[in-house]
Amino acid sequence: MFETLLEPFSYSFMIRSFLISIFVGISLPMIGSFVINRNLGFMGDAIAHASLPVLVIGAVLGASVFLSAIPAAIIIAVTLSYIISRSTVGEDTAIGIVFSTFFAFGIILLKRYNLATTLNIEDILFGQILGVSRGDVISTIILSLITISTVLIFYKQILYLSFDPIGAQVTGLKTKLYDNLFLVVLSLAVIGALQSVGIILVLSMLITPAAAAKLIIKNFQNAILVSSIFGILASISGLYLSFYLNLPSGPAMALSSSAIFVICWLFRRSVRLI
Amino acid sequence: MVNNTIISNSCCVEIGETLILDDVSFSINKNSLIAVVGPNGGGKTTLFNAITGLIPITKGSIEINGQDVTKGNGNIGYVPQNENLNWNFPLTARQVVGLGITKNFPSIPFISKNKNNLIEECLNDVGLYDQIDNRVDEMSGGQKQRVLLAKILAQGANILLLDEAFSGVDIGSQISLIEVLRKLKDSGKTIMIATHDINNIADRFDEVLCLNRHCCAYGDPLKVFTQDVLSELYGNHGTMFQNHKLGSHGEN
Repeated sequence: MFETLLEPFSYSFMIRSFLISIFVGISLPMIGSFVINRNLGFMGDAIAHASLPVLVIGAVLGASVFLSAIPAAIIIAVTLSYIISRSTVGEDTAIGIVFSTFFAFGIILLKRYNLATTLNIEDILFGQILGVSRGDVISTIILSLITISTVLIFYKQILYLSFDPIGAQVTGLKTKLYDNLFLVVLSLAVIGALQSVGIILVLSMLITPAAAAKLIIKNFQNAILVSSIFGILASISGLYLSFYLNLPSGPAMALSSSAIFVICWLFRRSVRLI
Repeated sequence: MVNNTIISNSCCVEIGETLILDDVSFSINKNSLIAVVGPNGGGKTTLFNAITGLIPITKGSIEINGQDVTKGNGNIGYVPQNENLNWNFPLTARQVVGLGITKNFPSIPFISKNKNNLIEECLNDVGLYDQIDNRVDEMSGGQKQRVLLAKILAQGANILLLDEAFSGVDIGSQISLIEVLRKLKDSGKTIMIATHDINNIADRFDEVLCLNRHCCAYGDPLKVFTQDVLSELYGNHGTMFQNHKLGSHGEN
């Protein structure tokens, strides 16, 4: 049993993958707890897709995903926030238009610059955690730490503007500033996870563990903690499945996450914790 | 020292191409419990938004304790309409009231002993201390209003604005809420409540502000509800605003 569990650690690429899994498993579900309660799942998906052109431009300029992620996060968050606030066609519609436009632009850039050697489209779409370098590990850990620390430090401000935006504004809270900060951090977390789960499956780590925790945990603060535990469980069990059954890693992690959700859903009435 | 807490001087508010508040003037005394009544679209929420500084005043002014609203409003606590709050969040009464003491600077997300005492005190003031660790989204409409009231008390507000506080609240819970509000008034708070319910207004409130884009009447509920005022508030009066257009504000 222990040998089975420990065997993957004899490979350095698996150790790197586990490290990324743990940090992505904590950071995405943590911010995902706010995302599911604010009905921003579509926004998370849009951010992942919209990051493509910025990552491609970064690769053309020779920058790593880490260096591209920060400007990408700010550009996407500010663009989406601006368009939503000025939109006369509805929030979802505006997000959908930005999402598809950015993504299409990214695909065209990818083909135009023939970046197959540095950016593999399949890896970007579905993730390729087993192929990450040491630099990728460090950049993902830094992006995750930025997300985790921002959510912890500004927890009350983000919660207040999410729960009662008008009341928060009346108290003098800079709601616009904190909302933009939230969107930037959400973008950073999503872009930081692209290497592990990819653009299409990023929602499986962003919203599924958080939704599973909400089914069985009564209290928001505890639900954040439990969703991160579910995130770690999903990503690590996905890695084991990928290693032993020779499955693609991103989809294996996504399916593990869905399995946790189904278990929580089945026991939602009998288990209602803290 | 003026004894008036909120003074509106010919206040006009335009939103987009629509004139929502037109030449609204009134003066509210400290320690009073005021009902703001009027039809849908009459400008009750807009008036609250103008008092809290959330929207700009096109013409005229509103002063809070002698100071223009544009110069800060930390003294005001606002409970918006129920549908403007996000009830998806599974928060306990303790957590919601704790939000009232949120500031702009960062903090460690653990409440200190002092703040815990304040939260308990505020929930006690609204009669919900025994529900401190219960989820607010699972409470009744009246209890939700009382928790939100405790939140703005924790904020330290002396002027409390409640928008549609009785909406979806049964009669028993309305009475409990009014009792709490009366106690708060007696302890020095000035309270304004926007409501559609004009029954029992005289029993519940000190004064009533009748608003239908302009101030139709203001004063003792037993005296202001004349036939003319009621007709102006809720009757057919298509010609009433024929001189009230953007930029003219009914001066003609």
